[in-house]
Amino acid sequence: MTRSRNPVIPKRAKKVLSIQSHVVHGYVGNKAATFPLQTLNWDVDVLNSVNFSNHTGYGSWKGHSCTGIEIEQLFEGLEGINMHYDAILTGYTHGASALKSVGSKCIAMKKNQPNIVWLLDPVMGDEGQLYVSKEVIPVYREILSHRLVDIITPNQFELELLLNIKITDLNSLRSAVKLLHLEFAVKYLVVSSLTLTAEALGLDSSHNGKMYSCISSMDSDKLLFFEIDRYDSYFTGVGDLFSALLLDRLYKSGDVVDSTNQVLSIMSRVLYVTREICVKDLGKEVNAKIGDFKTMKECELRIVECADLYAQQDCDYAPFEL
Amino acid sequence: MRDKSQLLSQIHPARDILSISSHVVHGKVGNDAIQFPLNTRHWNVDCIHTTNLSNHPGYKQFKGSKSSPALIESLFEGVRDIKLQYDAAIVGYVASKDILETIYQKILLQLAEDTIVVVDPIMGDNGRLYVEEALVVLYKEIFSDERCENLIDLVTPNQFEMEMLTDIKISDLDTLKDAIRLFFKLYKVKHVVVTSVNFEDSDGMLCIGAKSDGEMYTVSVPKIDAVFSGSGDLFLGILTDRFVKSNGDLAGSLKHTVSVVHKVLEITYELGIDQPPKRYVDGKPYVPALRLVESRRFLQEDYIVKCGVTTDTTFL
Repeated sequence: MTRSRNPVIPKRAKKVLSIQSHVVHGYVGNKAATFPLQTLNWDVDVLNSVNFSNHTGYGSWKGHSCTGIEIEQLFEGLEGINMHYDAILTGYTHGASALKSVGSKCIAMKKNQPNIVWLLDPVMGDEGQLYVSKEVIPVYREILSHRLVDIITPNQFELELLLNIKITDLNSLRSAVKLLHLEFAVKYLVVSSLTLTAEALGLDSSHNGKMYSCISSMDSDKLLFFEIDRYDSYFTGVGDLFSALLLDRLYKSGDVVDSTNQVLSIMSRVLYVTREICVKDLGKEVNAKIGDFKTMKECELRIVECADLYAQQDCDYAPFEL
Repeated sequence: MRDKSQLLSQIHPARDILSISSHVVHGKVGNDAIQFPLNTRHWNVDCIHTTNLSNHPGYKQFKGSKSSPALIESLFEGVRDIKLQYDAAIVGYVASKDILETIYQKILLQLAEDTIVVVDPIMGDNGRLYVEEALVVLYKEIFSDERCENLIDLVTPNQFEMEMLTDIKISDLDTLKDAIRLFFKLYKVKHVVVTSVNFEDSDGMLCIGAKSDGEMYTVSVPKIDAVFSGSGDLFLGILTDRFVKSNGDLAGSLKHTVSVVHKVLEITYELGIDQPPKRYVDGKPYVPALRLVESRRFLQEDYIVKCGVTTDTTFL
């Protein structure tokens, strides 16, 4: 642990522009990313791609999705006052037109200031289920083809969509990763959850039922894996918290293995706390079901309660190669 | 792997607050001045935004839009449909008469009875009105509405807004007391905090808290020679936190809030002032964005800030 010098005047915050969804209640998108980043000394400029009462998993929600034009206007306002950022975080954007606007504005920013670190989370779906319109897939490819995104955090399904490759085993995963670096010049790829089973990865039966993350960087041939804790409850916003924390760690250290390990460790603690508070409040184990607002409400990430966890640096996992 | 069960003993339970105010992408005003300090103080902050702007007008140019009353109403319907209850609610910048009408009728009057409601009647500052005249009239109507008696717990005008609400020019302690007495006569609100009172002959700034039973507290704080945007919103958030958690200890809440806000302004000044300043407002350097993230150590609820605050309790 480094001891800070007597901080009469605190260190200036780094500036990040975060473009994701807003919900009045709950923790997904910008609501999941903002407070954790703020506790880590990031000044977060929050640009909301949608403005909803709650996330759609509740089964009922109200609100407004921003049009591409509305999003462009907000960017123009920021350009007008000469905003400069250290990082950009782009997450859930609901439709092709809005995503095109986000893409073209971020590309222009990154061209003007190549030092910006851009993390793109191509939120499209999970486990074979697409939850945005399929027109966004080519838009993500187009954005990536400018070779300006530094960090990308797709899940396995999203990686398949971006590359139009089906990942069924270790070999097809390796080809997909290689292709991603080659085509899009992305420096770091972090897949926080693979749907590939231990068996598909060629691991023995002692690993049955485990979950895996994998990471890769452009300047290394190694594909590294982590065997991570599994929580069976349905949580939303997990990927959004993950990408926010990963941006912080990678921005500050540039060490993708250690950064990912720290962030996976924090995620596991946050999910543990969320589940335990949930069990305590309800007096029983709860598995949230899509469309059931009573359990959805209890399964919101405990972003505020976990305030002290985001700065933790210890690593709970051992990375391995296959 | 470490034992996670230890984590639970460190966890502080959170409360729920609904905060209705402006949103800007860049800058710390409205909900962007309220969310982080209240998250830090263990609140889940559910924000209904009355605007969606690139930045606040203090930068001289901005893009974006106001939220329509229909959007604000539907966002609240959305949270009501999933049966949310709030410990507290804040009303900050509301942008127009129509929006305030919607907030009062469709949100505040629908809240659970035990929700603590704090309203900052944002109209202007330093003698300048920056909302439509009709909004001022509506604030007066709402505060004098019978239904307000058990609904709005605390109102936080600045000196100018207190003058607008009472039509009394506040120039010294006597006229201030006149204004407060008239406020309680006209309006069905039990607590008022006048957030910044400057008399011509004084070096410091006063913050006044008063209860309808006649008790009045004066907290005096040194002036910082600059103009800040968002300090009123920060004040509103911190005051609400203290007021709720202390079960209505207005004197203590006021003293704490003044200290914290003063500390944040000091840090903002140290970190944020351009040398020489790029812009002046009323002859003072202008600082458009509070340094909230950098001030986080001082935003903690248990942080005891020692600055030149004096409290004095008198009766009206």
